[in-house]
Amino acid sequence: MTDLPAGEIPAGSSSRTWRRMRRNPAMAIGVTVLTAVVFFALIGPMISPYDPYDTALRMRLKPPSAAHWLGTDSQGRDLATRLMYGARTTLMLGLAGVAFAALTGGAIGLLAAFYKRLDNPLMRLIDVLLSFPSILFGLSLAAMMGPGLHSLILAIGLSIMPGIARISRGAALSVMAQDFMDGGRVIGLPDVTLMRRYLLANAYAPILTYVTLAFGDAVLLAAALGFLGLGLQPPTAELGSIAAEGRSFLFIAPHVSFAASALIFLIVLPVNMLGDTLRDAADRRAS
Amino acid sequence: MKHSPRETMIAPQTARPEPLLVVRGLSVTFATDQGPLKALDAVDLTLAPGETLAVVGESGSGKSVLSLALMGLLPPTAKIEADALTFDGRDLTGLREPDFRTLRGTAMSMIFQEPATALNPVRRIGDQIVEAIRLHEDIPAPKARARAIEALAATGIPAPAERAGAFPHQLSGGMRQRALIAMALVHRPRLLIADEPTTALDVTVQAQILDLIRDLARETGTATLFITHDMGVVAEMADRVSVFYAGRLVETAPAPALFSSPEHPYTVGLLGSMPQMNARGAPMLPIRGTVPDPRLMPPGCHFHPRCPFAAGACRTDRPALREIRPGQASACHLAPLIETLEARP
Repeated sequence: MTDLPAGEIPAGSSSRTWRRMRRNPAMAIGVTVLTAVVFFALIGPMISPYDPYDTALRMRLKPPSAAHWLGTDSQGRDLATRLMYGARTTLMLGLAGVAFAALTGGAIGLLAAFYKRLDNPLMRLIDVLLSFPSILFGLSLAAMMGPGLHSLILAIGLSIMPGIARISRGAALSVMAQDFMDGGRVIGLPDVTLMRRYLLANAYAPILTYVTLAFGDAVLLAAALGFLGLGLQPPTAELGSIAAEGRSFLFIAPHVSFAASALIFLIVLPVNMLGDTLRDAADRRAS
Repeated sequence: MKHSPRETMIAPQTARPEPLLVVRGLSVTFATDQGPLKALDAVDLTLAPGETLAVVGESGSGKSVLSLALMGLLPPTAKIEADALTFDGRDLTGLREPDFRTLRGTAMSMIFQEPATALNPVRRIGDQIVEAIRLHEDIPAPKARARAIEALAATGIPAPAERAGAFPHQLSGGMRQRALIAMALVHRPRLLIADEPTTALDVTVQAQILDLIRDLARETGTATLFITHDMGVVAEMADRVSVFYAGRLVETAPAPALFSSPEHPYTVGLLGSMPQMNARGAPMLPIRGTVPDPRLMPPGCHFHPRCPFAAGACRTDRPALREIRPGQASACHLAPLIETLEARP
């Protein structure tokens, strides 16, 4: 606050964070690319003239042309259309997984910080989850529950949840040490209100930053599981499984795997850039 | 404010009314990694309605633990034992959390040392007061808002309607403390615990806040437990004083008696450490040494290693709190001190 001229009242910390982010080119690039990909995934299927499941054996593995901008895959399906549906699926999987992880992990972290006696049991549980490599954990879960949308979301969510729980607990603990938590108790607020309006409202910034970065991990994990054949089953379009299908024809038709991988890259990179920017902005506010 | 001015209850010495708060033999022990830590050791306290009791002591004397114990805000790691702990005739030791929650904010309230951090930084002042009002009273939001602005106005905040829309970081320290006081007194509690409410403020603001607390407490008939280490504040505010040292109550007396004839060497030391405006150049008489580590408390009287009068019994036996003269009690083997002093060269 020292950089403000005397007498000027800051309009609220969130708008200052926003200004800092706008000055950052990484932020601008991240937002632009991510918006483009999301448009591609959401609007694309509506305007594409092709059906992602219509096979045409005569048109197999064609390189990019005027009719098929990105060429066709091994079944003769329009690759651009497949990628639109695939990106939509992968984004949705990542979003659902990270939402599940944020809700459970956030709740666990806040509860552990708020109720001291829950701290040890909850955090040891998280330690157990963290002691598996998360991809292995997601894999075995997906294998155990059998392929399907729900098991996939659960696998992705559970493998990124421990990190969110830890970050939430850390952020919440530093808020718990502040006087206003007792201030809220003194006026007789019930625990639920204290946790929401006092604890979460003051601890959300680092949690949100981490969740943004975790979204990138969730997308990668969804694609990895799809690539390994443990995600959604064919013919469902999903970026990971499209990349896997193309792998068999890597030498005669590299465009299939390449386009799918590039799209995954174009989702994860801007998400990470966004997350880093958010983290830097929050850090500077804290200092 | 539309308060019907209540008769103020002064003169706690004569016709003392039913006490509002009775604490007898209160001990608080924290379980720590290095073993149990006794923060309060068999402490007694009474507070009459409308009375102001100052609790005095150095950092680590247990005075803040006392306030948290009374508010039921100690963490679960704290073990609370008491022969009696009653507020307004109700036993607080067995009180369930939902009942305690109702009690807090309505019948008892608290203001903190650090107004900068005692308000929720992400919510507007007015919203926080409205929340406090509607938590315990079923009134519509606009009415609660009017009440909140009224409460802010009563604390002397200029342009209270605009301030109600401000975030805590947009107000000065004094303003924030006023807002906290407004919030604490919005339900006209019977007991207000003020935990060093002026320590973090500028000297000029300190006096204003002290006046404000006293005036509002008098107006609402609220009894005040005033925690402080500043004897100047004690002289300004208190009807009675209880002096704490290392978790024990060492002396309790009406404020005038405490200043004119302290009966515990620690109190004498506290008064001697006070800068005197009209005794410029005269040496102050600080207390030697520091408060002992709570895990390594000396046997006998906790104060004996620092006490200039310490004699044999002080090193072995815990002195009991004895009444020296009406209303004044001291936990010192050597009290009354005047006799001890005269017996020495």
